[in-house]
Amino acid sequence: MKACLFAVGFMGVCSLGVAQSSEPLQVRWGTEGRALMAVMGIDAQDRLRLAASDGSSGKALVPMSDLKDL
Amino acid sequence: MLLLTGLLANAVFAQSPGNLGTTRLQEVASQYLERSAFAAAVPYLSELERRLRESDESAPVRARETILFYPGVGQLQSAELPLAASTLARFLSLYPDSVHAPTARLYRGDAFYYQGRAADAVATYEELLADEKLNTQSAADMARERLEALSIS
Repeated sequence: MKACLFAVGFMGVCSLGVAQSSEPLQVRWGTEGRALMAVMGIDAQDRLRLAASDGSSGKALVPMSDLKDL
Repeated sequence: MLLLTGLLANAVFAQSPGNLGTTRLQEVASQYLERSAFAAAVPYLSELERRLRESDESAPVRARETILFYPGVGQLQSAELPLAASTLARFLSLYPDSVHAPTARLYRGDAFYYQGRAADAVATYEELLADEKLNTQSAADMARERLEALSIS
């Protein structure tokens, strides 16, 4: 019974982790923006919070209307 | 396996900008610029700029204009926005009359816009529209479009 509970708990934690990690996407925005970025969320003004996935410090707040490709 | 790893490491090392001759640096940078891969061109352009910085001859000074402009575009492309804003500001202070100046001003405004720095973006777009020597209609149209978006939000 203990082992069963442990297995269910372990699987629950794993699935939650996968669901919360954002997959990097090739994003195009505005005039020149084009990078492999992860969507970190949406702010109060409906702008996507993007963060670079290549280890650089790249990040941007992009209004939905400026997105060309996601 | 060891030999293969060594060869691969050597190939990567040989391609790093600091180890390339100036002609090869220019070729690699041009290839990236032709494909609009501005972000990938940044390390090569930065190395070229470093080598040309100390020259007083007219040809390198002219070449430096382009070499300073595109890293700003590359940094905008890869969302390194504070860096893009400062690179483009440096370009504009050195080459205020360049043909690239209106686009550099627009992109500097964009670097603020996509950081959510609305006041700095508005000031930069208005500076662009107030420029009497403005020769790029598309840059002006884009700046107006951004100002409109900022006034709505």
